[in-house]
Amino acid sequence: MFKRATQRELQAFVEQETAKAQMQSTIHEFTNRCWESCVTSTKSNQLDSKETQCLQNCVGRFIDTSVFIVKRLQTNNNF
Amino acid sequence: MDISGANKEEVKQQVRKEMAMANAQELINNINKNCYKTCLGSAPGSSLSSSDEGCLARCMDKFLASWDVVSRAYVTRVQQEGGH
Repeated sequence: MFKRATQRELQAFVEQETAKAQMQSTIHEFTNRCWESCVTSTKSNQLDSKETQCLQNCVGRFIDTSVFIVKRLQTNNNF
Repeated sequence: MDISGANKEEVKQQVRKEMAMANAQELINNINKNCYKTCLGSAPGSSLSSSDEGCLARCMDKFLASWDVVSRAYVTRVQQEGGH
């Protein structure tokens, strides 16, 4: 059994950890998606500058895309 | 009866440990999936050749590096968005 205060503290802790887990899961998803579109060669064990740039762009443009879609749905009430 | 301070910290520590484990497992699964596809996907042989192993090792390093680049890019972006 837990005291009220301890219960609240643990609840806040679990919420925090859940948010962290969600963020990590998003990062896994992005890594899979962006790996597929940016990294094709395994001749070397290091990312070259082009691949690194592509991965960064991939993350940025994917987020831009989702922001764009939400904004467009908000302005044109045509769905 | 209340759980002691030490026990409470133990509970937190256990939760953190399990989260880290789940995260590592997800990463390993993704390496497995993506590097199998990259190194063996088109023509898996009757056994794992040394060149397959070389490819898998390089792919694994690259995948981990990609995970790192992606998390940095994502976290940076999230922090910027937080400003609006």
